[in-house]
Amino acid sequence: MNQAAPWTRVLALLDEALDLDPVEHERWLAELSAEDPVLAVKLRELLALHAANRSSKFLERSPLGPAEDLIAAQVGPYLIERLLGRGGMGSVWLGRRNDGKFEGRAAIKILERRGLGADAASHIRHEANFLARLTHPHIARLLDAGVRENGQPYLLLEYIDGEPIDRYCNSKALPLPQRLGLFVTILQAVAHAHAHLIVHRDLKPSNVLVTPEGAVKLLDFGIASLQVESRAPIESSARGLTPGYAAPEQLRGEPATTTADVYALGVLLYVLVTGEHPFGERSTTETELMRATLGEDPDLASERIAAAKERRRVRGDLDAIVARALSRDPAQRYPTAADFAAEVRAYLGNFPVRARPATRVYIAQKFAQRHWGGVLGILLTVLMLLGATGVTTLEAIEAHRQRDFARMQLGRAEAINDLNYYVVNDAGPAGEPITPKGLLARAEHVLERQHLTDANRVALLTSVGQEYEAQDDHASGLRILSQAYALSREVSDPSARAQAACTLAFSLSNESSSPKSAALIVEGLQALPDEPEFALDRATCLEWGKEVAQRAGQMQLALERSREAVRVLKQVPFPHEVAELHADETLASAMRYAARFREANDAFARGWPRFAALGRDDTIGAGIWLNNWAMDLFYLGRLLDTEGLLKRSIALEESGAPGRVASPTRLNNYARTLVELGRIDEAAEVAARAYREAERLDNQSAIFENRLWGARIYLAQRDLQHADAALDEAEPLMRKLLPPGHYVFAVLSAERALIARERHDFDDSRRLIDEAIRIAEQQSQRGGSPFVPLYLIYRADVELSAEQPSPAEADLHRALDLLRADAQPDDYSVYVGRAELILARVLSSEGKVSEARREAELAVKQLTQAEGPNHPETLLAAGITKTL
Amino acid sequence: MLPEQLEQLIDSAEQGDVASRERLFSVLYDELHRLAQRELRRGGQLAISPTTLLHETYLKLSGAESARFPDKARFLAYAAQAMRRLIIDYVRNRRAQKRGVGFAITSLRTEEPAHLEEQEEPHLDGLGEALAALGEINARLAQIVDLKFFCGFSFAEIAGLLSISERTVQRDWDKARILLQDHLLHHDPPLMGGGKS
Repeated sequence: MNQAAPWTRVLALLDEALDLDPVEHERWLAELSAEDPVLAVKLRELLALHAANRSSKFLERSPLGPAEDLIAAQVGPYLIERLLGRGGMGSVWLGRRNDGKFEGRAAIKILERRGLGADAASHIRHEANFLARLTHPHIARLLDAGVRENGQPYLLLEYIDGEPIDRYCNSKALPLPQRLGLFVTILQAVAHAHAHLIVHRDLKPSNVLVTPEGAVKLLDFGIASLQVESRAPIESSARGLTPGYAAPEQLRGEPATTTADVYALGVLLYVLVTGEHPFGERSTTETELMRATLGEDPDLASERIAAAKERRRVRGDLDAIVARALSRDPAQRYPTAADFAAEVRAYLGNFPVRARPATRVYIAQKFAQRHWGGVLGILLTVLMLLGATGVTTLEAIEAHRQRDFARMQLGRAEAINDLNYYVVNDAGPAGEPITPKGLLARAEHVLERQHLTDANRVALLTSVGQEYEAQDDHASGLRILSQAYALSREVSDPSARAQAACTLAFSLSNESSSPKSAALIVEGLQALPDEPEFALDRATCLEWGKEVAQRAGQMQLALERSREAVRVLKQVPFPHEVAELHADETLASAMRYAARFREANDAFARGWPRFAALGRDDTIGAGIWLNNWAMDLFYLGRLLDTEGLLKRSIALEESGAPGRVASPTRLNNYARTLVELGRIDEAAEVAARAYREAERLDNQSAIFENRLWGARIYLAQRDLQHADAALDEAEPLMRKLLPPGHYVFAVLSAERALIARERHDFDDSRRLIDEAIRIAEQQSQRGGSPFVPLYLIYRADVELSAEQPSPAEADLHRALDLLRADAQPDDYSVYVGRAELILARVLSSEGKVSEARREAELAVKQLTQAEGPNHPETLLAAGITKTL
Repeated sequence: MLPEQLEQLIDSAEQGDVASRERLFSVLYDELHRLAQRELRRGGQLAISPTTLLHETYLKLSGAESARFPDKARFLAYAAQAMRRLIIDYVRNRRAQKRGVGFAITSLRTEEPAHLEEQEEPHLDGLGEALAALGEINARLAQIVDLKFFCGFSFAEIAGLLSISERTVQRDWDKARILLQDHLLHHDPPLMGGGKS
């Protein structure tokens, strides 16, 4: 025992020295020497041995000599050419077939028998038979299995000449969507295997190769399962496990199921998204890696991304998807790769991702990204925002009342999240595309069965109803929203009461404008106490109120309400980009309806870069924004710009899913623009599509709009009979859906006037256009209408045809005054150009040649920019300048 | 031998019973030796790794299906020593054979020059003695050498096996190699005899 003491001292001193940086050894030895010179000499010697051991790699080579070399060995029908790699389970070699039957190469995996059962050979054969049945274009095939003469089992595998996926993505500098695309392919392959009851158990980048052609291939599927399960928490590599990719339960020696693969895929996704291993930064040794896997949560993926734009894309959904896949508790992960794939696809397509924790903001964002703008999905955005207020303020707020409020909102957020979970979880059996309609029907069904508080049920019914409205399914929307409203009368919760009332108001105003709509908005607003926590509810109600006012033709009221909404939104204590963007949109839209087109255009132009900043310039919501902006430009008379934006908008909407048709409203707008641009055939084709779609959706507003603009197409085709018929179809629908005196009746009269003029029935035409101007003037007094100058121009045209130059001249001057009222010097407008063109013709008929030429020259300038140099009107104006 | 008997043997060996320890060692050695012989008869050289050998020995002795012998870590602590003995014997034997038959076994190798083995092998006899001495000083250091060098376990596996950190395994491995090299150089460790306190 005595003898051990000096060694104990030596070992302690060694520990001390080895802790030091080698450059400090001299100083340390000098200090030791002062204390104990003999020990110092010994330690100097031992430290020198340490250095020598390291450089000579003392005891690092196996006493049994180098590992087996199989080059030129025969394994089954293959001659081994070279070593491909070695791992815990054995070695892999490249073999070329030399039995003369087939050409071909194979990867030959020689398995270490450690970890294999006693009757390894029969076990392997049995398993291999099972695995060989697994055929999938993205899974490398198991060709055969056998046992060498020395008893070593081997596997013959399809040889894949590829690069590990992480290296491939980096060397190609693949952008995120493409990385995710590859990842979805992987998930589909894994899902296929899972469907055949085969679990991989050792997914990692070196098992996921990408060929030079860009095809993904998964290697070694199910091969880890050839290893006998070991209960002891050691020998991870012998069990075919890879620390860092093995799931916690695998490390604990528990059986690996499909969720273990989901975990490994989560790590892989993390690596593909961030370029780093989730625990790679913290863990340098295998044990640390295993410990981290068993007990730590990785950073959010987005926190590992330096580039701001990329980080924003990943933050939120993708973070949540990765985190769910990486849950330490297998029950919290996606149960299968198929579920995982659905989520990543949903992320790529902007559908709600159910991994996302309970925030209503999130769901709102998703809906907003999909159908954002105008009347769509708006209330939801704001309604959901409230949930976030509840969550974020839960800990911060001291007051009881507010805390209760927050708790209530949190409960609602959870309820919505639950609903979302069930809906997405149950939706879309494998292979079937998920449609919004299908989701909503399911949501409705789930709601019927769920136990909820009445207030939460009202909130959920309201959001489902709004989504139906967003999908243009007004009948379902009205049905659900009526139900929500009826139930809301029995609850005291102000948010629920207000939302139910205001949303129902919107739904009612959709098909008929009743005083009830207006009353419901007032009722909804009155339900809300004047306090910051209800600011979002108030803003939402105001926005619905704006829509209702607009539909009732009360443009001034609509503008006031949207301004009020923007103001109220500022009281909300947290900034939210989506809400702000939405406020811009509402205001721009109200300005447009109030005929403040120039201001509206400024608002649209200001807001557009925000889409790009939020990474949403290719979403359906952006498509709606473009549509609204385009129609603003339509009334500003910039038809070429209108056409360009509408085309983009429709393309965005139709790119959402294969076979998807843009909304009839948007197609109607496009048809109308094409007519104005003189592209009649295209207009007819688009209008026909719009009509079919409107009928399919039973969207009566879209039907009468389609007939109104359709009449113009027939007129251009000189088919007066169909033009009349189209208007005759539109009129009863309008009478049913619109209040008397609505500005659309001005459009109806104006279109009839144009037909009458075409028949040379000038008196009738004059009467009809007078009627149109009367309605439009009334409208302008109430809050703006774009139509007064337009119809003055029509009337001048009729007067010119009826050879009444002086009233025509007066109408044109008045129209031009109105049109130029707030114009800037470099503005241009098709309406100004048309007025000038007709004025030139009127002046020319009066013999005022030089004045006429001057107007014609002005017209050419305006029309060239607004409609293009080859438009018939532009050519006509140019012709006049030449002949005069 | 039945799994229960083996477990009893491990228990008494751990309590310091020298006879039990010797009996345990010989049981383990015999089993490892038997399996290794089988391998050699099959392939002409030891194509399976020592870890596989240990694993199969464990399966054999514990009864693969038995749930009564779960403590593989305790088993390996002893088996690793037997493995050391077995490998030293095997290499000594192989070297003798090679000298007799003229390097027949290494003729296939193209990548690793055969003389590397020749450089390593002379250490092994002395290494056995050095390890015995090291085991007297600090049993764990010797055990780590057995597990790493003779049995082929990774640091991580050893850390798991001995319930210590991987860093400690690495440090012990360094210290063990220093003391072994020291012993090999001096043959008679100076501090061991001379220390008085």
